[in-house]
Amino acid sequence: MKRLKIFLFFDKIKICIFGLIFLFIFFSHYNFLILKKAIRDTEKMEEKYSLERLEYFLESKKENLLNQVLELGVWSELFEQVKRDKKDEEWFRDNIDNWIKVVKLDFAYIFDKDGQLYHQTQPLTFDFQPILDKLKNKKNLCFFVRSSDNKILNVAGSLINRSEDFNQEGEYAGFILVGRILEKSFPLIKEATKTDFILSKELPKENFISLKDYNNNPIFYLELKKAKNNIYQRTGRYLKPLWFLIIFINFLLIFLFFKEVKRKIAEEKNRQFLFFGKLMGFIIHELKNPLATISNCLYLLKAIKEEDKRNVYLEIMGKAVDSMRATIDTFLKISKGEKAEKDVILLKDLIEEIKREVMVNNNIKFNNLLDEQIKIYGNRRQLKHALNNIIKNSVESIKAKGEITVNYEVNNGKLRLIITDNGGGIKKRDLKKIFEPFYTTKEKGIGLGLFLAKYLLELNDSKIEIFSEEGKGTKAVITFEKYE
Amino acid sequence: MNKIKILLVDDDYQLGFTLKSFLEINGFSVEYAENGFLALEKLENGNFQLVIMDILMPGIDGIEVYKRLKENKKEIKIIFISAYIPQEKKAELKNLGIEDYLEKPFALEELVEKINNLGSLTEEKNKPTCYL
Repeated sequence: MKRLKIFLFFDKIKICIFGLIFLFIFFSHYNFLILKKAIRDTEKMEEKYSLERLEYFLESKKENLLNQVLELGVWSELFEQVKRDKKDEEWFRDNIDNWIKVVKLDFAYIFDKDGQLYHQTQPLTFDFQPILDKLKNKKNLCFFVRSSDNKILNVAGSLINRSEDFNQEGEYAGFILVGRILEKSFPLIKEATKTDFILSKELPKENFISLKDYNNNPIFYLELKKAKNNIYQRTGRYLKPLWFLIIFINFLLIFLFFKEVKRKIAEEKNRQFLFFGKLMGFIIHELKNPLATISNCLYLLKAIKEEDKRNVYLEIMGKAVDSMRATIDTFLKISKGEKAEKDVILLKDLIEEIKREVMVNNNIKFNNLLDEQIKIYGNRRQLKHALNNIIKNSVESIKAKGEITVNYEVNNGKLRLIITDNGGGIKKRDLKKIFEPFYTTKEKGIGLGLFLAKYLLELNDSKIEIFSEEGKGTKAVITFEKYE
Repeated sequence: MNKIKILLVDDDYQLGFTLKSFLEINGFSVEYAENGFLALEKLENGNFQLVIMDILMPGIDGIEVYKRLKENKKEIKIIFISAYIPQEKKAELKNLGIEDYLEKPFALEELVEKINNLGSLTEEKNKPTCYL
C-alpha cells in the first residue's frame, strides 16, 4: 500500500511509467502476433517440406525397387539353366538370398512361367495370382500390398526374360517379386523430417499420400501428423502464462490509471473550491486594512479640532479609499480580463517609486541602472502592481544582506527589463508552479503575487520569464513589446 | 509620569499612522515599525512594555516575530491585530496558544480596553482610559 502511494505520488514519472508499460504491452502484443505468425509459417513450411520429403522418399524407394527387380532379370538366364538342367538349385537359391541381403531387400519371390512358386526368401502370404496376371501385360510393376499378417509391403514385380529382346511378348521364363516391409522404413522417415506418419485406412482430409495397389487404387494412406515437440508448442508453453500475466498487469494498470484520473478530477474540484476561498480571504484582507484606517480616521476626526491635523486624517482617508478602489478594480479586471487605459510611463521613475515602497531595510542594496529616457506603454497602476510584486519577492528572498539590480537590454526591437537578486532563489520543483494562483512557498504569502504580476503584464502586452537557482538568486526578465 | 512604551507593527502605513496618533493622544509612547524585521530590530534596542502587531506582513510576519521573541525568552505583552487570517495560520496561532486577537477594523475603545485588561502592565501606573 505504501509503495502504491509512492507510485501515485510522482506525477511525471508515473506518466512515463504508464507510457512505457503501455508501449511494452503494445510491442509485446505486436511481437507475439508476429512470432505466432512466424511459427505458423514455419509449421506450414515444415509440413509442406515433410510431405515433399515423404513423396520423394517413397518415389526413390519405388525406383530403387524397380531397379532391383530389373537387375534380378539378369539372373533369368541362370534361372532357365537351373530349371532346365534341374541342378545347382541349392547354389542358385543361396546366391539369390545373398543378393537380397546385399541390396537390402526384405524379401524376394521367384515364380516359374506357370505361376508356380519356385523360391521364396521369407514366408509372407498375400494373393500372388492377380499380381502375376497383371505382370504378364505390364512387364514390371511397383505397388503396395497388405499381407495376411497385416504388414504393408512395398512390392516391385517383373517378368524374367527368356531372351534378350525384352519386348517380345510371351517370351518369359517366370516372374520375380521383390519388396520391403514398409514399417521397417519408418524410423528413417521420422529421423529425416521430425514428423510422425501413421497408416490409415480411412480417407484423411489433408497431409496424406496414398499408397496404391497394382490396380492403381489407393488402399492405404500415409498421413502426416504434426510433431509433438515443434517450435510453436515449445515457445507457446512459456508464452501463455506470460501473456496472461501481461493482460493481468494491463488491467491492473488501466484500473490504477482511471483511479488516478478520478483522484485528479476530485483534486481539481477541491483546488477550485480552495481558490475561491483564498480569493475571498485575499479580498477581505485587502479591503479591511483601509477600512480600519478610515474607521480610525473618523474616530480621530471626531475628537481633534485642529484644522491642520484634521486635514492630515482626511488625506489619509482619501488614500485608504483609493486603495480600496484599486483592490476592487484589480479583481474586476481579473474577472473581466479587460484592458485598462494606456499611459506613457517613465520606467526608471516607476521603479524608483516601487523601490521606496518595498525597501524595508538598509541591508539590501538597490541598483536602478535604467536609462531615464526609457518610456513604456501600458496601464501605470497595473504595471506598477505587477513590478511591485516581482521586486517585493526579490526583497523577501534576501534573508540578510543582498543586492537587487534592475537593468535592461534591447533585443530584436523589444525591451527586456531584467531584475536580478542574490537572494535565496527558487527550488527547481517550485519554479514551474510559481505563476499558479495561490501557490506559495512563503510562510506569510497567499500566493497571488506572481500570478497577478503575470496576468497584469499580459494585459499590457508584456511577458515575464523567471530564472532561478536555489541559493544563488533569481532573475526576472520582463519583455515589453513597445517602448521608446 | 512614566509613559507606557508601545511598539506598533503593521505593514499598512496609513493604518499604522492613525493608530499611532490615537495611542499617543491617549498618553502612550508609541514607536512604529512597518514590518517584522524592523520590529525585531527595535525590540532588540528599545525597552517596550507592549507590542501591538499585525499578523500578516511581508517578510517576517507577526507569528514569526512572536516565535523569535519566545526563543530569546523575551517576556513582553503582545496584542495581535489582523484583517484576515487564513485557515492554516489560525491553526498555527492555536498551536502557539494565541486565541485572542483584534479583528480589523476594530473600534479604538476596544483596543484601549484590551490594553487595560493586561493587568500587570498598568497596575502601578494610572490606568489609561479612552480619552476620546
